[in-house]
Amino acid sequence: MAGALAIERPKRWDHPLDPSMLLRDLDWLIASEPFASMNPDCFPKATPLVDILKNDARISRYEHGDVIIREGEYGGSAFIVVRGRVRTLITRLESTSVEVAQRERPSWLKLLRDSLRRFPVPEVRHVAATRSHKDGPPRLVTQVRSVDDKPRVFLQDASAILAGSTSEPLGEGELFGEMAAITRSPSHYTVVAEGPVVLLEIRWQGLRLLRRDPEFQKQLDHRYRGAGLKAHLRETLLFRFLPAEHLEKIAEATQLVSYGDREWFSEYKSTRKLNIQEQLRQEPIIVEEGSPVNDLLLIRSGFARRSYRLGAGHHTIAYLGRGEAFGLSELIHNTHQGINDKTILPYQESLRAIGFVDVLKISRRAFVEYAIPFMRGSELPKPIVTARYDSQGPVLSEAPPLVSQQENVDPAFLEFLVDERLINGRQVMMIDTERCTRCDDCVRACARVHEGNPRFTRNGPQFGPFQFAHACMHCADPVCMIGCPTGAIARDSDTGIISINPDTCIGCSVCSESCPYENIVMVQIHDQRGRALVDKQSKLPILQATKCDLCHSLPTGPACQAACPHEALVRIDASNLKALQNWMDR
Amino acid sequence: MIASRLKTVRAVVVTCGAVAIMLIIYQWIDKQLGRTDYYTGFTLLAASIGLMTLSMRKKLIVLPLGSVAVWQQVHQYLGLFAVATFMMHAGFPVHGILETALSVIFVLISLSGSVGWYINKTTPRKLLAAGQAVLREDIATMRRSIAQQAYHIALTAAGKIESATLADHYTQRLSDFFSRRRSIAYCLVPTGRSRRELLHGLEKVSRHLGPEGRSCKQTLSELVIAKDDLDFQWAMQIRLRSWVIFHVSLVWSFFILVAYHIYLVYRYKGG
Repeated sequence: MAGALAIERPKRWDHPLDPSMLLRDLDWLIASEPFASMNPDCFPKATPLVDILKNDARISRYEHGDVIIREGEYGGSAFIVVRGRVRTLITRLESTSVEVAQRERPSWLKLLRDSLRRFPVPEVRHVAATRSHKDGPPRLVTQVRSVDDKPRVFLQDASAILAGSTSEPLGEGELFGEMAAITRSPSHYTVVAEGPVVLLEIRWQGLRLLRRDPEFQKQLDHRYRGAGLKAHLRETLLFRFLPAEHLEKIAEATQLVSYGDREWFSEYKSTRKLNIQEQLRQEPIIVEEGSPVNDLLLIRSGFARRSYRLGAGHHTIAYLGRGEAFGLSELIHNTHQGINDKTILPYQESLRAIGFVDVLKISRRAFVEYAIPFMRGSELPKPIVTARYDSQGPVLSEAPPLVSQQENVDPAFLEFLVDERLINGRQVMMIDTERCTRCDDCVRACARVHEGNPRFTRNGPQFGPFQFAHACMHCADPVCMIGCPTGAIARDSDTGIISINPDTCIGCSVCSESCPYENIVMVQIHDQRGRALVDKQSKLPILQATKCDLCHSLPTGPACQAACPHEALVRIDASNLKALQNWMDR
Repeated sequence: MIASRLKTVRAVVVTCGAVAIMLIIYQWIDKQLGRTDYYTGFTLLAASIGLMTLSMRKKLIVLPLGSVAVWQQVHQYLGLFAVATFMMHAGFPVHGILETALSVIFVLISLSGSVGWYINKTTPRKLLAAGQAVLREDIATMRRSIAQQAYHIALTAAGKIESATLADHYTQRLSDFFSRRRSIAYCLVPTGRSRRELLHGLEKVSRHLGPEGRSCKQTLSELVIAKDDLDFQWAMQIRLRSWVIFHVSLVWSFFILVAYHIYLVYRYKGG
């Protein structure tokens, strides 16, 4: 326990994506497109182009049928085809076609031993794991290599699957996977190697730096707005019965517009302290109530607040997430009324961006002409009976009742979820304080399975008796992953769980500062003898980021939930309002 | 709510069924002139070990053996079963020093278990009524902050003639309340008596105050409520933890005596 051990402070690029990249490969990459035409002056001295490629890129080989990107996988890297050809499969593959590699779970013996062990010092690390690979034993290099060498997922009957699926070929020099990597979203398609392929993989940290080159940025933007659109329209429930040529027409009449700041979390920390009206004023308006209905709006990513004016403020009635539409009721209503009728209604509600939102604006004309005839009558919204606005302006005499339109949820609760940005959470820790005795069994259980240090605080925003504790929510939009220089914080492609790899975390605290919910904590780490690890040069303590990993390695799931003797704690998807309401009403 | 009640009814029926089966077997062994004391004794031992497994389950949280909440329910009903078994085993009156000690400890465990059940049921609502959930570790800091605020208000009041009475009242009646922890008796049975008395005292002082003094008095009253709420949260949480320690200590004492009891039974069982 006593004393301290001085080690070299971990640095960015201590762990390159490919530590064995050859200099001649690097020279060849620099001389190839698109890097050859990049302007080296666009990059800061600390992160020159050559170092980005050296540390954030790797050249990989794939055999025929190897799956490079799996549909639904959370992207971490973009790829450029160096040699050969790949195919992007647009049709959905059955899960049996793409086998998921098994993750390692600790043995029962280890789990039991750890459960009964006492931890005199929390957060113990193997010193070798935190050392740079340059002066330590090759433990970390082996880990990186072992990731590299992991058995590749492949399609057993690749030729038949490729022949039987709708796919698009991508040849040498073409880029793919960049959208999912930049937007931290699941991939819309599966990419499979067609014959032997050589690819350049660029992890998203590097991709972010490469965007400093204006031409490359332009190319990315163009692709992001173009390629994602068709895929998104194709998977929109509203358009599932549309013939391909009509979908094509809809795509032509669609505009992709982004609202808000992609790095919204930095602003949110200051705006959350403002009162609700001030907060609303900070949210960019997508559509103002009372304005003419020219487009149908589809949320492509992010969240938007649906509200209407009430007194001096605004009343939130719902929030929209990915795939949800705005303005449909008005459009359908107006279509039934006829285009020249005086009863044509404007937008009845306002739509505001919560954080960062990508919106698809489909022109009214194209929607009416190409989409409505192929939509089921039973799925269409009912005509608007009590309008808030008509073509003349607000209809003040007939104010609608104060009810939420989402799953019969208390409107105040809905506003609370939106204001606290809890809608972002997929595994929110919710505590019913009407049942919780504050026994802290949940905290103890968490500490027991996390080397003596609980990964959450039983404290947080509260709505009535329901408290939302400071535990990682494994967000839909995990802003903590933005800026991690080593990729230590990552989302598991199969489970959606976001976890931190202690072997590659350099303690820069970017993730901790980015998390708008204060759910990532920097902790001092110790060696197995209990000595605090300090930097060799500065003698300052070495910290690492820790957070809830949802006990993904345990067969019981989250220990906090399993340990609660009063059924007062649950891990729940905050976007599933029905589940939330059921749990609250139980 | 209905599902929860159904669960309770089902558990009570199962417990009563188990006790009935236990009685039938007891009668049958008795008719056969068998050793009913061995039968009830070992059943009680098994039930006691079963009751002990709850704390083991909490430690071995990695095992997929159902949630602790289910184990807690089983613990409560197994406790009722153990009480019934104990009554059959020990009878009344109890003879012998060891047996009396064992019986007293068992009764204390049963009573503390019932008290624990009551505390667990009522504490959350009481805590909720005392404001937002507060971490026990944060209470000391929050108390200090409240005490400092109260001190500054009293200091401000002392500087003005129209509110000097309030400063005197603070020194005589409130200073102690803000700076000190509450007594053990308050932790055991937290009441709102002090709070009512202090607020009443402040109310009485207010007729001697000017407008500014009354505003200071109002703030002080709010601080008294805030401090009392924190004390209440502290007391309730401490009470819960103390109860757990008390209950577990009794359980260990019981098992030590049980081991000795079994040793004596076999040592002197005779032919």
